[in-house]
Amino acid sequence: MIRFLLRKLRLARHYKEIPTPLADDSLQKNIEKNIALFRAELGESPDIVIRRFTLKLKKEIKAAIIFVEGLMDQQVVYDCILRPLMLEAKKETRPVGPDLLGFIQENLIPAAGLEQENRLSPLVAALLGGDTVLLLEGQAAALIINTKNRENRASEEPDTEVTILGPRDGFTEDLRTNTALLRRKIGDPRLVFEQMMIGRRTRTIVAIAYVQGIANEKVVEEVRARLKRINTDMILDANYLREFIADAPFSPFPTVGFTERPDVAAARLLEGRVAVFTDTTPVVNTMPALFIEAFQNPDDYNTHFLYATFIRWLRYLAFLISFLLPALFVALTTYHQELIPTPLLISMAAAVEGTPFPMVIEVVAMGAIFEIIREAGVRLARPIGQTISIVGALVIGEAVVSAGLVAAPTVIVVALTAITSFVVPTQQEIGIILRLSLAVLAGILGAYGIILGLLFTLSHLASLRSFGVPYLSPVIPLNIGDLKDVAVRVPLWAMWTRPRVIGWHEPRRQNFGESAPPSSAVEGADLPASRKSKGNKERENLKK
Amino acid sequence: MEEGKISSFQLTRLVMSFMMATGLIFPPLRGVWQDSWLTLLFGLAGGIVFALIYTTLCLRFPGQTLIEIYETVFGPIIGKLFSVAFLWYIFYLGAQASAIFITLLTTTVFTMTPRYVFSITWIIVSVYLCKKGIEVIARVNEPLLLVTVFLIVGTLFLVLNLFDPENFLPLWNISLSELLWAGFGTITFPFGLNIVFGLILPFLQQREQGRSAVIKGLGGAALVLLISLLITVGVLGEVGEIFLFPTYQAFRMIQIGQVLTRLELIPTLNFLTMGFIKGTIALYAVSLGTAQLCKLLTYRPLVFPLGILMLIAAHQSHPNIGVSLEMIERVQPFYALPFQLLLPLLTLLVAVFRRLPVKEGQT
Repeated sequence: MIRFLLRKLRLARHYKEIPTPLADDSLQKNIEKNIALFRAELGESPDIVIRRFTLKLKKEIKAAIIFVEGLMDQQVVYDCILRPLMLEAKKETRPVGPDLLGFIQENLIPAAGLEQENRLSPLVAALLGGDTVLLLEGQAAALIINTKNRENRASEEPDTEVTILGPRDGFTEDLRTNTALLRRKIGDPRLVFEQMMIGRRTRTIVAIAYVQGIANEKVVEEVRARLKRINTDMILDANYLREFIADAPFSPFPTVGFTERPDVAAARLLEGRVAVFTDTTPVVNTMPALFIEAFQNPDDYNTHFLYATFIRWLRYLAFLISFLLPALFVALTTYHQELIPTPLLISMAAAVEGTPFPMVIEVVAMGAIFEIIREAGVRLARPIGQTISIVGALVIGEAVVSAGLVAAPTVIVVALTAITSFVVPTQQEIGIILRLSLAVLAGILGAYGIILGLLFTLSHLASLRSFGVPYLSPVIPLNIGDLKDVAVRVPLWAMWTRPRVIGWHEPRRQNFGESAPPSSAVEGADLPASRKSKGNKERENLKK
Repeated sequence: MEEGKISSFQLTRLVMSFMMATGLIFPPLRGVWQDSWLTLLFGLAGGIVFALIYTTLCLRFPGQTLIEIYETVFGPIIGKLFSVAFLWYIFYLGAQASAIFITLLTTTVFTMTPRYVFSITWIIVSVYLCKKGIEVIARVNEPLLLVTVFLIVGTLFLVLNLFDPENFLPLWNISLSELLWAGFGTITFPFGLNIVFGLILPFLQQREQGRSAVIKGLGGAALVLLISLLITVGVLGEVGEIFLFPTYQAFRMIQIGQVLTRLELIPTLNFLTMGFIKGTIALYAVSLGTAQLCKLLTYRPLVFPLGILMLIAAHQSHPNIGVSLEMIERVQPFYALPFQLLLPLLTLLVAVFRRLPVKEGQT
């Protein structure tokens, strides 16, 4: 149905020719003409600065630099371009050959990034990216000097993914800072970044990152191909990319993962995933994505493994409660009262007595009210947001029960659901949809409705793939070895392999048993000979 | 036609679900109450023999489903006639599965709701799953089967306080003719039903493991059914024979403290998922077979119309529980035998006689 509509839309869409750059936009020898070319391309905006000066070598040459104010670094422009060319060039004694630009590039300008270019469109692109362009009289080419301004907010812990223990840094809006943060985490020289530009008008820089040898080449190729296929005029955030490259565009389940934390991104890359950085946003997409990712919190790896396993089980339980509890409550109270133990049934019947609406309406309405309160609390300024929460939760919750409009158990169920839905934040959006639809189904068909809804959801989930990887793996299809990081969180020294579905190219993380800690407190007392020698060697290495 | 591939372990689990589904709520108990474990083993042996015949056929014609094999062996006209009859049988199986489970719901839990409400919603989800292909069906089956087995084994511990081993005495209290008749019934229903997998075997990753996978599945199903028989007979005793759904009744007896009481809804819903898988596999097999019969490129457009037909057939052929029981106990053994045994056997003999398939190089 949706596909049909889309096809219709595609037919009705008006194609408008996208203006292509002139076939021949080479620079000319006359500097005035070149400046005019730039003016024609960029217009008269006040932030585009053209600074003319005279370069004094053997003879005087007219020169000009062009930059966009604010994008470039004032200090670099002064130190690396204006000072050497205007002041220090006079003292230059070395012979200038016929290649003036080459001479300047090699001898005069002490900037880190330098490039010659003779066509207008790449020059303009570089200019708008924060570089400075140097034009010289008599030269049909120009120099691009890297003067990009790297001023940015400091890297701080993202609000969306908070950890108790663990690093406090987070990605920022600047692409280079982000790639540097990742490089600092992964020292391996085979960490590769590939850059491309997407968005005809926003010209957003997008970088694909992966670790060569671990990442599946086919997945990398697929990511590259999908990104290249995007033909739109704006990419403002990571989600713009996500919606363009997701495997199941109509599915409410996220088949592309994302994170704001460098440690999470590094861990995923080292499992064999591919990351896609987008300039101007701190959110980094990672793929392939698994359903289970939502339950793997970075804190799991920063705390004791038993505790981490326990917390992870709590998280699964909370997720189940968050979408199943309202539906179960409706089904039990409406259709299957016999399943409720008798004492509980009596007290619940007493509470429900006298409320005017059927249970399903109560649950759906209270659920909707909660979502409204939450949305209002999020969008408002922070101090007011808290007020809203208090008014909404306490006043409405309390008053609605004492007025006899809604039964007290309903409020308890909705509140519990609300709390548990925040335990797994990345699956929260899907939680709302599942919760409401299952509650309605339970109201219509009781437990049969819930089972049908779950079967439908399961069928959908089992059919999803993310970049060739089954979305529910390693649980469905079952891979017992990979349950080490799903059903439990085994000690880190026992994580011998990467997840099979993703990192099967280079599955080994460490040799089996080699890096296990010595099993006895007395040094090497009852270790087998081979283990002993290896353990000692390690300890010696540590001492060095 | 079908791009997906399933592993042999997934096939084993599909066979298990398919065999267990109706066996769980209509266990092979009638008339042979405390000796039902014997008929169950009898049925398992027969089912394995049936499986050997058609898997031999499938191994002889690698990559072909039964529909294609019939056509290769008997030629286009007779082969198609056989295929149509065979497809009708599978179609009927799917209708039977959904009818039985909907009857279970309407007679026990939802006594006031019309049957169509259940069957229509059932078919919608079944069609949705069926269109995703055999790979997804196999994946969906995995957790459902796991939960079912877990529940049944767990229940064995929950009913220990009601369990009376004397309910199985006296052993061997059955005449040979009774045993043969009951065993024959158990062979054709549920164990002989695995002929359906003759349409699914070609989509196996490791084709040569198909036979062992099917037989393992039969064994697993027999084990689970045996446990459910133990629970039912051990808890209910001789009196259980008066119930329509003895397993349901046995689960109903669970009574531990004031909390774990009247839990029958949970296993019922769980068996329902098994029935759902069974119906979906049947619907898938019929759609796939029909598409191969008519030489279509894909089976997907057939799923929805066939699903609706299956829904109507379920209501027409199983209007109430009495008809279903009569069908399973008296008609089914003779009705199913040609499709489960005679047709594959005949095909195998003709294939051997005609020296099919013709290998390359021979003329």
